[in-house]
Amino acid sequence: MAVEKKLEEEIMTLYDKYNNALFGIILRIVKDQHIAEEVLQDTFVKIWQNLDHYQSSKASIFTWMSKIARNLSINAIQSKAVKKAGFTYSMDQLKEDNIAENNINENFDLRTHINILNHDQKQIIELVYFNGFTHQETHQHLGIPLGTVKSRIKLALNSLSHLFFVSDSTKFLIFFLLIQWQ
Amino acid sequence: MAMTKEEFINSGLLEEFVLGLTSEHQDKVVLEHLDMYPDLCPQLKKWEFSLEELARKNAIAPSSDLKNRLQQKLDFHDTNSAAILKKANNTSLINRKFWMNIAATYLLFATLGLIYFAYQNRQLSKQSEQLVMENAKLSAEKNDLESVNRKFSFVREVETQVLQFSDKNKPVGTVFINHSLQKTSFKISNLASPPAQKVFQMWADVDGEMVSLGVLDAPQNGDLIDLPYMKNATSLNITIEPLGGSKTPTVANLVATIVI
Repeated sequence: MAVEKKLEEEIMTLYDKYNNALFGIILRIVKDQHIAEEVLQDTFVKIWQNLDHYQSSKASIFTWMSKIARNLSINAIQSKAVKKAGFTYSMDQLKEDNIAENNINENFDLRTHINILNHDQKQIIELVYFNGFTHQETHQHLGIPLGTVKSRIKLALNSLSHLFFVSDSTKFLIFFLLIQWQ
Repeated sequence: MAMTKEEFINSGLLEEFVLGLTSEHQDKVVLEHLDMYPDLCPQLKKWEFSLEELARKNAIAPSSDLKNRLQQKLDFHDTNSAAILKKANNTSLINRKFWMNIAATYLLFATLGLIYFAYQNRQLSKQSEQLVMENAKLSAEKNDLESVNRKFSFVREVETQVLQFSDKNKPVGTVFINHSLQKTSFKISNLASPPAQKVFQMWADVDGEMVSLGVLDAPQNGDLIDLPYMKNATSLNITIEPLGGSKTPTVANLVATIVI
């Protein structure tokens, strides 16, 4: 029983720490509160099932969990679309629709911090991070060279790194100065 | 196939990996290349941290009862989650078994190591005791040799008078007399054992009177025996006497004599 209790505690600790961040990603992809909650539950079931396969030395726990959440979200919208249409729906068409919905619904726009990115970088992050586009798909969708896709992604990631790292460094500097002042 | 560092960077795989867009095969490729080029790991960590922060800043709370629903879904008694939990338990048990095996192996090696070191320690203690004993023995032998050396040193002195003690032309020993040092010694070389219940006794003729120099107690050939120095002795004699020696020599039992 101790093992079961420990596992339950582990999964609930992960849930408490990451449910909001993961739900934010899932909801932006599936656009439906009910489905998003189902996907979040399925995400944690899958996390539980595969927790022993996770290797902390390889990737951060959030990278690993968000990949599971994103894949399940894309499966969910594909399944929803199939049910609605009654026939096999192409993934490209599905993503096109999803982007269209995303553009219409202002509630699901990235609210903060992403404004640090320019239009191109923001568009790339929206496509690859919140819609699961590969480099190839992004290149075809935007009609820009593959090399440009790659460089925009890298620039967007670097801009985000700069933003969060500068922000944290500033916090540390202020904290340090306050300590010194006291 | 392994890429050069430049090729790997330009492939954009690292960015796709951090964004969760890679397949299982691509994940393997990325991790292999990160092992090859570990200096790229800090960049990956930075991006991972940034995307996690981005997700946190844009987090949305799900319904408050979702946690309870998830707990019910993962309930051990629930048939749907029983298999999941069983698998998780098995994994934990496997892990636990694995670690217990590791611990048992470690303990076994530690115990064997301790036994080995205890055995070695015991052997060394024994050797140490033996060395102490041998050292004591050697010290004793050294003292004996020094004593013999001291005894013989006077023998080698130029002033020492050397006289052969003979019994019917057969030498029984050598007498060394040094008047400067007032020292007399007798080195036994060919003295037969005395008859049963008898001993050899040494005498000095001093001013016509026989003075006892002592009894030769179990004399061995090669022994160097110190004798009392008699300044005016004119001769030395050996007689056979009853056990314990006599006050006066038994002339009939004279074994050897030497005139000084």
